[in-house]
Amino acid sequence: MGLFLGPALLLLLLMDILPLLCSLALSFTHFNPIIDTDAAFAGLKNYSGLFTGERHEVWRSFLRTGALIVAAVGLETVLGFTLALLMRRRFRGQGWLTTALLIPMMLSPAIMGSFWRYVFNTDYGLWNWIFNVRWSWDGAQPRAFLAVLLAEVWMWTPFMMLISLAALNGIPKVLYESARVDRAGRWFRFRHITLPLAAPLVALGMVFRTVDTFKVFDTAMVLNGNFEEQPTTFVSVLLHAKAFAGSHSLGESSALAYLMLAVSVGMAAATAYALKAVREKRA
Amino acid sequence: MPGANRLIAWGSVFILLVFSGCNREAGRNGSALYILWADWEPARTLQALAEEYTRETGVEVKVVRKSWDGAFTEAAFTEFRNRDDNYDIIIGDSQWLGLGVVGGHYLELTDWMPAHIPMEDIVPQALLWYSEWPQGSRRYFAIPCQADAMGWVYRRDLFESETHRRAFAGFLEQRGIPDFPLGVPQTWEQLEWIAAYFQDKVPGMHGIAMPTSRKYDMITMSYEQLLWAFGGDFGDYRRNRATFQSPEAVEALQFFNDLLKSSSPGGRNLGFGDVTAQMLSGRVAMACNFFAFFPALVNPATNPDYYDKLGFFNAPAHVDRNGVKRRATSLGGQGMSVNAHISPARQARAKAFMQWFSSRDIQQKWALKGGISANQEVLQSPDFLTALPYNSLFEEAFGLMKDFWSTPEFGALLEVTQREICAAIQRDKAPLDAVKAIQTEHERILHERRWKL
Amino acid sequence: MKRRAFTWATLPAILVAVMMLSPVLWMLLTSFKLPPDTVAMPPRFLPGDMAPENSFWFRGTLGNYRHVFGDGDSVGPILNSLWVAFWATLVSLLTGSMAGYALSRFAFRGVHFVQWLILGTRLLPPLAVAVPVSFLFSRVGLQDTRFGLILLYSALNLSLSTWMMKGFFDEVPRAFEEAAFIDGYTRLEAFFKVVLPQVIPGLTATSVLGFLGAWNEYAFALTLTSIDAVTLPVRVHAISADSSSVTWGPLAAAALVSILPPVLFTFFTRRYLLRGITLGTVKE
Repeated sequence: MGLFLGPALLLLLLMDILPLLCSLALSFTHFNPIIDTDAAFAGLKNYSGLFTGERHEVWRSFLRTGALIVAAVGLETVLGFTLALLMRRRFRGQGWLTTALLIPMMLSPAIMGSFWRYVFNTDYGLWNWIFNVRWSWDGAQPRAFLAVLLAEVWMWTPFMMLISLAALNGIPKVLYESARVDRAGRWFRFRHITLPLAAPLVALGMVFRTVDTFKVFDTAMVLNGNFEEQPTTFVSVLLHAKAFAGSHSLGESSALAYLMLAVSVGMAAATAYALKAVREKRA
Repeated sequence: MPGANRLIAWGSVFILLVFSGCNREAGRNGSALYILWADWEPARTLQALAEEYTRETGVEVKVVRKSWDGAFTEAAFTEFRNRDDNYDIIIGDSQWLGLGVVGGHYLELTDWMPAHIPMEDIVPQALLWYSEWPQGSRRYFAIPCQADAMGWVYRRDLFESETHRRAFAGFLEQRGIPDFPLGVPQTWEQLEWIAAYFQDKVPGMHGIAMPTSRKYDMITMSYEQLLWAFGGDFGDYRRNRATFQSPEAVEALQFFNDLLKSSSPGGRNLGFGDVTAQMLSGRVAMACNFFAFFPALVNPATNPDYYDKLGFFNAPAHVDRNGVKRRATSLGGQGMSVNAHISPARQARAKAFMQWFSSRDIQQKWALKGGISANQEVLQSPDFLTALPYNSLFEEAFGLMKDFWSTPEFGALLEVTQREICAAIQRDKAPLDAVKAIQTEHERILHERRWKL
Repeated sequence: MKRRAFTWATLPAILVAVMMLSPVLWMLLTSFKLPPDTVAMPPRFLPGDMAPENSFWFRGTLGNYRHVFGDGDSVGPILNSLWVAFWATLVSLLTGSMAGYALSRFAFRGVHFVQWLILGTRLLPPLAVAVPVSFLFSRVGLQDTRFGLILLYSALNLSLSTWMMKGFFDEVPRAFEEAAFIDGYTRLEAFFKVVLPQVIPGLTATSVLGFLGAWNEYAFALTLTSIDAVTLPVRVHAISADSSSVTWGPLAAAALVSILPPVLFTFFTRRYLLRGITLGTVKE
């Protein structure tokens, strides 16, 4: 049995546990490797610095990330569920449609993001021309946030749609038939059969999307760079900025990384709970 | 899957795999010289030029290119941070000199240079800005590689057309401005009026395009030429004191903000490449960019519609209230440094290349191919002056150039100016507040510095 | 339910598909344009002869593709991505299958812990690990090597592989191995010769997702590669950031080449992908 688990655990140890321990150590130091050759011990200053920095960039980045999660997951769910309702019935060409819808999810966010920069260009981008506006999508404009939001929703609404489809198809048809026999109206059927029974799986999908959206980096980085105060500076982007740009401070960025981890662990617990609930319900 | 299909599928996978495994790019070539530079035309020119070196000496030269919007800085600083020896030569930006010296990343060349480089032929300002650090110490850590400054390009065909000239005269009369002809602007105010004319009166056209991006140093570079023309300054570089806050700095920032009203909707967030794009599209009358980016504009392959309709000029002057006329241009350009973390044998090899590069003949070839030499003889040779339409501007530009801070903290200092100037230009922060913020932060950064030379 | 030819849902469905794919279509068009046509306003949609001002015509060219394949700067990254993705997928498939098998078959104290440990790494933000990994890699000389990337990507894919394969193994009745034991096979032999063949669809789906994960990865590749091991997403972004001239055309060309494998794989394995994305809870 050890043979079976061994390689996996070894890989994890090397690539995840070890770096995390190293990061923990670094988070207690002052270390700008470009100028300093040694790390200087700094106690808890990095951690307290996260919360008391005068520009509040850490707090703001968490707020922004939270806003993105709420907006993106919300839109993806609503749109995805609506689309699923539309496409419940089988029709010709459904296979092609599924493929077409799966494709955005399978693309590299960094590569698509590079291209979104072109579509969202203020002066000659396709979007501005189609909607006949002169909106500015990048830099410090609040609309830069929207650009990332749009890119995310474009990429992941199909995911929620497919989850919703699976959820809807899992509802036993008999319930609908007996409801029809009882002359229950469409809205009644929707509210009392469709929604409650589809909810667990859709909720699971939302949990997955939440966890993934928290990690967002590629799209934001490629669209707007890694600066500390942009509307697109989400937690990952801020982390990258602290570690690899500006002040190059390994200590500060490691401390932020641990903060991020703490939040992720919280979300992991939520995932576990949701997964368990869904598995039990479906069993 | 039927047998034949399966065979084909696995066969192609196998072939692809072998092919990618044998990728030439992977794996270091121990005997090659690796040079790190930005991803732009001069780097490609250097690679082409270096092929001659390879023919002469057999040493392969690889110029590794990284983009200006952050990848170049990150690559260099990662190299510094890890004290790595991936690159033999680093063609670092002029502002990185202090960082390279204090961090021990650039090899000192003070004793080597007089013996191997024709220093008396090099323009003194080039040595000052690209090679010497700290300034005035007569210690050298790089040889000038690419001299560069910000210049201006304009649509000569539009400026020379009778229709526009008359319309422009009418435009000025309408606004009650003393008349001046539609041509190369002599002052910043004239530039502003010309830009306003094209922006307001010519449908489909905008007045100017300048680098205004938050990335790297773009907007600061554009602002600098105004700051100095209006009489302001960043600080006393020799004494490491920040003297930025002044009425002139505020005035210059306000002027910059107003000037940008004559740019396209995206004009407040343009990168170097975006400025080129604007000129290519033909929708802008004047643009400001580093000379190193101009080759793309005069090349029919990349600019098929307008390559022969352009003119060039150096930044205009500004006359202040007391009648003092000031004129400055933002310095660009890079010096070639030896990576201090490589072995002595590799250091010697790198120096040999740099000696070859600095020789008169090679500098001539470098200049004729589109690189910008710092060798005075080359700059004055008739071949050079006629090779490209803007080459004759360099002599003047050298006299006007000034640089940003080059201390080891320049990164933090630059981050502040980038952030605040962007806030003023892109988010309507009051110029006075932005200037004050920069002054406060700069004072703090310079006060906190922990290194000693 | 009978398959109908067209329902009222077909039209919106087609509309949605078109909207989803329109960026990709625009990418296709852009890849054939000359620099001035990519920045023209209004945008140009149809290939034709020299465009007068304000028209929809653009000049078609293959120059962008020649640029991508010809000047060598993008060929290297394509090959690097292929190499790294292949090996990372293989390693994570192997280790993940074995781990998934163990989790499926063995009950031992701490099995839940191990399970959640492995799953937990999927929830790990890549950036949180990128800084120390870059630091450590440079110390041991793995910075900018394909081998380093392969190691890292294998670890990243591990949780997905393990979780998915566990789900597939759960569906294989123990009777198979028990029959093999009676015949004298060891556990290891039984695994490779009897059980694995039962889960080939699972292996396929897992490897596709693993390959795509490695192919599309950007955050780590950005920090860990510089010259030799540069992968495609990093290269494509570098093309878009090239400030010496207008590069939207070459960007589109390179991007299209990058999305070819994902599109192909999606088409051939769509039935199993959903299951993988949702960590095995949704079986369609």
